Amino acid sequence: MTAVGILEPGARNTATGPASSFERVWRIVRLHYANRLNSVIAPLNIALLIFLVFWIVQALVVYATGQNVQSGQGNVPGLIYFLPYQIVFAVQATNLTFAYALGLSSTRRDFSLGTWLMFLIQSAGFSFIFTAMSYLEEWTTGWGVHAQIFHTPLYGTGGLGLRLLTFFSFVVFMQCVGSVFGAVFVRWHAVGLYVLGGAMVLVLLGSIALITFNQWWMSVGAWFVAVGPAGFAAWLLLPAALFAVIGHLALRRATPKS
Amino acid sequence: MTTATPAIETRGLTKRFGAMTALDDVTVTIPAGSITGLLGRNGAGKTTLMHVLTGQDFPSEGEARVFGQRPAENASVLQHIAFIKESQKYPDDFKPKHVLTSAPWFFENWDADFAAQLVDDFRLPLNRRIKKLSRGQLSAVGVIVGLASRAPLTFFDEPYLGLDAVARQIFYDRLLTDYAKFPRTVVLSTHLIDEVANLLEHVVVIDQGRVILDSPAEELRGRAASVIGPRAEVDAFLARGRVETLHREELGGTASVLVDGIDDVVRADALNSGLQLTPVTLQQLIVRRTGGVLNDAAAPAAEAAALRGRRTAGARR
Amino acid sequence: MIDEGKPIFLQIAEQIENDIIEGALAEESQVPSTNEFAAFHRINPATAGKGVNLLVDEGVLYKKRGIGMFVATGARDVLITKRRTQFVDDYVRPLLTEAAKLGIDPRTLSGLIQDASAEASAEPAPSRAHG
Repeated sequence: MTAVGILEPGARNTATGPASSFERVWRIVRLHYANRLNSVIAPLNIALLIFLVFWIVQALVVYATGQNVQSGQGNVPGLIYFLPYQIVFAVQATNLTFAYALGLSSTRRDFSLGTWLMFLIQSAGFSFIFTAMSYLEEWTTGWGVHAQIFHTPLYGTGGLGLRLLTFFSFVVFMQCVGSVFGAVFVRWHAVGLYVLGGAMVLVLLGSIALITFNQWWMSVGAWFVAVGPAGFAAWLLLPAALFAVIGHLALRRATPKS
Repeated sequence: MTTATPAIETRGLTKRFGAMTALDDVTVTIPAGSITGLLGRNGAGKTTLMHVLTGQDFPSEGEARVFGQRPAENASVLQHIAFIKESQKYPDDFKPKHVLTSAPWFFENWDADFAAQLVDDFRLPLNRRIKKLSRGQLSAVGVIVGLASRAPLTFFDEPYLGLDAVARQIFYDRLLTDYAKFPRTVVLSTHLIDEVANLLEHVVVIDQGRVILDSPAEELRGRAASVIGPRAEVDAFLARGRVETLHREELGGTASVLVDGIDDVVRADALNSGLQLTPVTLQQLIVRRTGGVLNDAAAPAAEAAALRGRRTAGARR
Repeated sequence: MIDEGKPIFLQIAEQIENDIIEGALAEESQVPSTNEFAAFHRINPATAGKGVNLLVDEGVLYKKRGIGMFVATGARDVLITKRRTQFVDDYVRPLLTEAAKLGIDPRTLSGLIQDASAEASAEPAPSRAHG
């Protein structure tokens, strides 16, 4: 028996060549969308559920009081409840797809790149939908009942670009936070999550304590005013990227354990 | 074999998990274009070895090379590997149809018609959630991916837990037929040694993280046998020191000794001493080599029957 | 069909030899392909190929490029000669060993063989229960 015909790298029985670097990343994106239940249908259902609950509650308030009271006291939009779910989504996408992607002989690097790309696509998609809804909300004066579901004080009365950027930044930030939790769970399991959660609480409390102790709150406020809504949304992308990189560092030596 | 680069080559490969050494100085070469059996008891280190070879885990010491390159995080090597493992996890809410949609993106030789035929063969329900599949159906998902992917290097790690005898036979038949049409390198890890023995061209046996046997399968056939006869004759034969004793049983004045290292000279010696030689299966050899007890109920009975000895040992046709 | 304790490629070669000796495979007829042997016996194709190639090396089979393997002219006679040589080692010597153990001298043994042969041609030999 000769080696001729043995399938070796380079000897293929189909016309397709080996995958390019982008193709290898892109198929991870497709993997996340192979089953649209988790990636598309469930998030849209949750957004729809939030919308309906807020609309019904606000309609009841208006009906009961007969007054056109703005919901949410003009501060927090109902959509805020969508954000925690994005953390959960990212944890699942990282944790469950990682073992499967490696099972299909992907590298960890391609998995991280593909997952980040999926986050960007996901966030852009939601950003378009929410922006469109925010305009609809204005034109229908709060869906006919003065409900504030999509309007965000952050962009105030800002235009299209600012709205797109704001929604995008918040969603992608949440997903990147989730990806860190997912990656840490894959690498260090439950113990890792406790350590990470504890560390995050410590950093958060420490920062608040530091700012309070040094009476820096004025400066913080001044910074928010100085960078403005667009600046803040853009700045949010920085920690998002940082979290994404931390997530990848955790995955780099992770093994899909049974 | 004229293939220059072996499919798999490890040198001094060691993997530790804390204080536990899962792989201990493993040096093996698996030729390209063969079906190799990776055999051993549960926990022997087979899965760990395959994890390292497929880049899912990292060596503590030593080196692992696949098609001449290190596999870890090496896309150019990994995209030629299919690793089908018993413990493979799938994303939540995945159904077999999602697996069969997504797997082709990763394997350039994927044959969709073959996959569809295998789905029929194994009667796999495509639209049932993977979590709801029976153990056998779950195994079928992996077997179908492993066969239809036609990856140049395919690992099957206990691929058929829960598959019944009929389904396992289908797997062997499809593997052989497709392997004949599209030669590639297959590594088959299983504890059903007797079932796969005839499929194998090469055998690697691991015990407690060490390679204890690395040989062409044909060389193992006939290398071990049970030597049966009067105790004194058997002892005299063993005392000549040409063979290694793996297992000994006695019944009355008769001894039956499973020995390794039989060749033509030893065979003639035994027969001239009036001893019987009865062949042992690859499974029996490996079980004795790995210090285990035969768990196959039929095997001890066969040994006992051989011990009572009726057959003339000369004609082995 | 495949025995333990003996290389499979030898068994494949022997089975082809048997088919040729018994006339099931006539001279100049085509032999099943390696893959057909592998599928039929559920063995590794490379092992089956090794068995076939053994017979090619011995001149029993020959290869027609692009068509397959064929039985060589004169193969049957060659095989019968070979088997007759082996017959002594495989059957006669063990028989003598066993006979010596039981105190049967070669002359008596020869008589036993002739008796058994006469019986066999008359009727199937009765099975002997012996302890």
